[in-house]
Amino acid sequence: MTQEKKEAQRARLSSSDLRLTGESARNTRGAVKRLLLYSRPYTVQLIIVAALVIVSTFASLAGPILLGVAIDQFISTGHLPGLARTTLIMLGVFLLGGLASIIHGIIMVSVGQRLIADVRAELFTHLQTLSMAYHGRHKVGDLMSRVTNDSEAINQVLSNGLITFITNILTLGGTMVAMFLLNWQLATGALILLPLMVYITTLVTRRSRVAFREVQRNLGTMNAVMEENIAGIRVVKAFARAEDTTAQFETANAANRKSGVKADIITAALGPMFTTMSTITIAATALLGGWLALRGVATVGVIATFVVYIMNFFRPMRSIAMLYNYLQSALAGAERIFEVLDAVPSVSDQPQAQPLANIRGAVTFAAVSFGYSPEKPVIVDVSLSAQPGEIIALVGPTGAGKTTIINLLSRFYDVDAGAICIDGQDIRAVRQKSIRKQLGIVLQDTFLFSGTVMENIRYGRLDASDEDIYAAAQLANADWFIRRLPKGYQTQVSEQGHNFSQGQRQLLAIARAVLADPQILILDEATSSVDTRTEMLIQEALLNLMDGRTAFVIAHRLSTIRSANQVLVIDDGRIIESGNHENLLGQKGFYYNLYMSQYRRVEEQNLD
Amino acid sequence: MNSLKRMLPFVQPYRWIAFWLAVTVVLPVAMELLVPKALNYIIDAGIEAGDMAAIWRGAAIMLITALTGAAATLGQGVFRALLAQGLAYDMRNELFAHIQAFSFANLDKMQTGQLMTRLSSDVDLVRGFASHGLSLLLRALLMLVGSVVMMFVIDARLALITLTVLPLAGILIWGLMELARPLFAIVQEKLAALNTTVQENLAGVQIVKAFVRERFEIDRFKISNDAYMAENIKVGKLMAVAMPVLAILTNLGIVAVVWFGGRDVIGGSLTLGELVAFNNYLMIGMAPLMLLGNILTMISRAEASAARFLEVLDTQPAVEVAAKPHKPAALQGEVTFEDVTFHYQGSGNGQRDVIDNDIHRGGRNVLRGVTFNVRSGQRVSLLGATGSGKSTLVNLIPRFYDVDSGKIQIDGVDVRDWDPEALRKRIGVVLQQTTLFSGTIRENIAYGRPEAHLDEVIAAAQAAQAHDFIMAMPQGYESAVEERGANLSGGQKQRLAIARALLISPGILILDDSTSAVDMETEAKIQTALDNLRTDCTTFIIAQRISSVLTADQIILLDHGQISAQGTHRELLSSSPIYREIYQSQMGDGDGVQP
Repeated sequence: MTQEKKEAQRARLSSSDLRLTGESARNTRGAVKRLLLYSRPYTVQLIIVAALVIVSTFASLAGPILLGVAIDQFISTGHLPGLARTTLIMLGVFLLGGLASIIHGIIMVSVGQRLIADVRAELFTHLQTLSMAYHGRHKVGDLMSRVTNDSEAINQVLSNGLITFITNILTLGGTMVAMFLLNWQLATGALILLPLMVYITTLVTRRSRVAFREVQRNLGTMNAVMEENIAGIRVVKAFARAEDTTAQFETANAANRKSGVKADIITAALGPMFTTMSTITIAATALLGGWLALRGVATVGVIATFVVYIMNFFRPMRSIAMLYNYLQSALAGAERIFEVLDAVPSVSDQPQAQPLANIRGAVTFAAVSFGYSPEKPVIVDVSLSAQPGEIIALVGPTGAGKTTIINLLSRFYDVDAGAICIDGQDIRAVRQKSIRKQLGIVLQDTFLFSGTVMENIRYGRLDASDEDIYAAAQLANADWFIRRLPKGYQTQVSEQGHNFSQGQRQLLAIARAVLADPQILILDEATSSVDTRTEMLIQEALLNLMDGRTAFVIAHRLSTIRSANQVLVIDDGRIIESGNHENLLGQKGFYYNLYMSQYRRVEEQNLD
Repeated sequence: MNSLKRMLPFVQPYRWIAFWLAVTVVLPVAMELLVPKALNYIIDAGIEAGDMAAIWRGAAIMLITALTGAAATLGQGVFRALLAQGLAYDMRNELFAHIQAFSFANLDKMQTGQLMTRLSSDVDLVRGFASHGLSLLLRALLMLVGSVVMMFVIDARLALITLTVLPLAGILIWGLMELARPLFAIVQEKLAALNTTVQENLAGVQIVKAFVRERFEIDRFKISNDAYMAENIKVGKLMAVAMPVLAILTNLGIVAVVWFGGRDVIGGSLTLGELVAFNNYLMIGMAPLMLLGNILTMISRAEASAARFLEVLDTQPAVEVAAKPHKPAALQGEVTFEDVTFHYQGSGNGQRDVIDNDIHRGGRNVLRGVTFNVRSGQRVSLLGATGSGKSTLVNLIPRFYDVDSGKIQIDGVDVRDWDPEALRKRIGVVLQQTTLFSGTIRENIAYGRPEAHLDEVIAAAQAAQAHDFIMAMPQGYESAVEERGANLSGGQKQRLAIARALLISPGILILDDSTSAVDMETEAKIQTALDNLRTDCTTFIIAQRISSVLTADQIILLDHGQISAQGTHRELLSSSPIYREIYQSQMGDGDGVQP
């Protein structure tokens, strides 16, 4: 990537970060609403689930009441047929409740999974439509975590948490109502500790949130140290800095442990609190219930029912507190996902845009200006005209804007002023994809996908036959080294092609572009790491291939440039000289100096 | 379970904490088991007997158990945090240090992302298990056993009848475990596949767009996405059925208690209080089983993570340090290759996952019978076709890899006898792929010698032709380098890397294609600067441009891993046809050159 692009990224990154922090503080409701929209296709299933949840909740509430009834009305009185009847009802209620749970569980699992798969697919599809401008200013890792981690957080909540959450709330409400109906004095006694409990819970939750934020920060630092030193481990080793690096990591790791212990202890306090409160409440109920029973206001059956209720009461309380945190993080994840979905591609097809018909390859730039950020123009008033079949070489120092010109021609970005035409047609008036389909691009940073060598070359044209692929590889001078690999074309390419040398990767990228059979070929320093002999061979082959096609070539080596029909010398975003090699040398200007710098040493050496 | 068992040595330093953790898990369980018994007492001795004092006594006992249990559980939280966080801390330190000891041969087979996952999420999963899973499991088992014992104490016959549901629950849980374990593994696998698809797509987004492969990518994603969803639904359904069935079993027990227990109360062989207590024991005994699904998930995930963690830890560094390493004060820079043969290591050593099973760069010999001798202070240029072994050759000098046969000597000492640190501290390497670290420009240049004075940093930057663009940056040498140098161009990064290598005043300097992104004029200046260094520093240069070769003391021409020609520019021009061809391909016949 070029200097200017990076700088533009930086500028936009900082401004978008500002906007982000402003936004993410709010709009929980909005996120919920939009998630609900995704559930629309599953309305019927969700209604069934809701009905079944109510059934199973009622069943679980009925159990303890039936127990109380059995004790008071039949066991205490010795009424065996009544006991038998109650037992059978209990059995029926439990089975019904269990069955309802099974069914709603199964439905909810598939609804939840499908829903989140929908969200993921939409997100991924949308990411494909976003322009390079967007991808340029968002880190891969950040976008990755939205597609995977954030959607996973929602997934967890949808498939487990949500139903449990709702069931728990229903159970809590139902239990309270049932308690008051059974015996209001006892119910008041049992629930008197509730406000205290809610208060303590919020207190602990708030504390733990602060603690976890600290954990998050330390974790971030640790991960940064880790990532950098593992990604750059070869340099660490080359400079024998392993010990310092390890010490640096240990420091970050220790900070992470310290805050982790603190946060864990705070959170751990929540558990025993609930158990204690539960036991204290049972004690209070037994005491009050016993006192009331002695006065004939309560019965043993009611006390037994209450004890079961209380046991059932504190468990949901605890899991609600836990689930609430999950829910919060899932919603934050949803917000991050929606943020991507809301991003609008900066390069988009006009509604009436037509596909670009088969082109001949005439390219014109008419007074084109462009900047990655408005305040910093990178390309200023560039005009050029290439006839079909011509080779155009772009020459100039690093950061002059050569790659940007290529990016504009590929319509990765739209121009700010002026126009770019292919075969006389403004590229903004046609569909982006139809342009790129007719371009063959070899980028500065070669990128290979995991998969076989064969698959990587075939990426250029999916319907290519094996023979086409061999031919393309031969043309790119890659065939000979591929055939020397133990598995030949079926050799696996590892992560970003690390098992190939840089030069070999470039050859594979050229084969890929050649296979696409483009009308316009773009080579952005495509052979910088290839040795000069191989480069010559490729060049000859390309020249044959390019007969009648247009080529744009960026290269530092003059041997690559000499055969061009036009050489455009670019400095500071402008074309400062143009012509063919001989003309330019004759001008004795910028190009001449550039050229001579390479030869001066040869001359010096030969004159020794 | 084997991998988790192998994690035990990591618990060793925390054995006392683990002991107290066990105590604080047991104590609350014992306390909770007392509660139904106290309730029993309140009902029978209090309510049924009409004795308010007994009710007070029962309530007081409950209160005491509640407070004792709470205190113990609070302690448990502290011990759990100390144990789990300590464990994670030690695991990370050990793994990180281990990774730092890896040689390039090890690293070739591992992916950065995979190593990152081992260090972060895998350790976290093991920590989560140590923190929650273990005590939850212990608690569930104790609660179950304790409740069963109490039930037998109250009424053995009723316990026998009721507990027929236990074997059923046992079978259910066992079956669930058997079914779920492979499924969880598949889910993880599918997730990894999904992640890879996304990661590659995003990293290569410009290629995707350039070749208009959006549709293709979306289809590919859809396959991974659907596969992941399908497996998740399978596991989810299993859990969705299993949990309610477990609940139904518990409830069947309750029904049995009410019916059989109720008849016993009517028959007079059981008191009402005992019936209620019995029912409560059944409930508190079975309740933790409901969490079993979670616990099982936790165990199988922790097991898988522990296995992945150990896999990296078990990988031995391919380069071993000699017993008595050579550690001289200085390095003269004399380099001898004696019949050196080398190949990149082939398929994996039975290790899964991190290991890329494919043979790297051919698996056949990349260097064959390479012999040469370089005197201190000489400049050596390596030429050869792509893949002829140039980078490999220079990577052997700082012992990033060990040779297969033959030997490499520096200052007359085999590199395998050198202390690797001492060796590398005195060799300045500029790798083909430039890596910078976050921090300032100055810190990056001073990476090899953090204590270097600013003047020295500036001098190195000047030699590498980096000074001017650094000064043009807003904060000069204190400007920040963004993540992996995102705010610098390729050529600028290369120049910083050269400055970094120069600053350590190396005895040997290795430049592996390190000016490929630098324009010609700048490259020429860098070379002039290097010429001035020549007297005290042996230099190996790999470069594609012929102009950088001309002034070399030795040119080594590699062809398929063998030296095909060797000599100075003039010698080779007359003796080597290949060299002549290369030279002419770049220089042409000097058309129109007028110096």
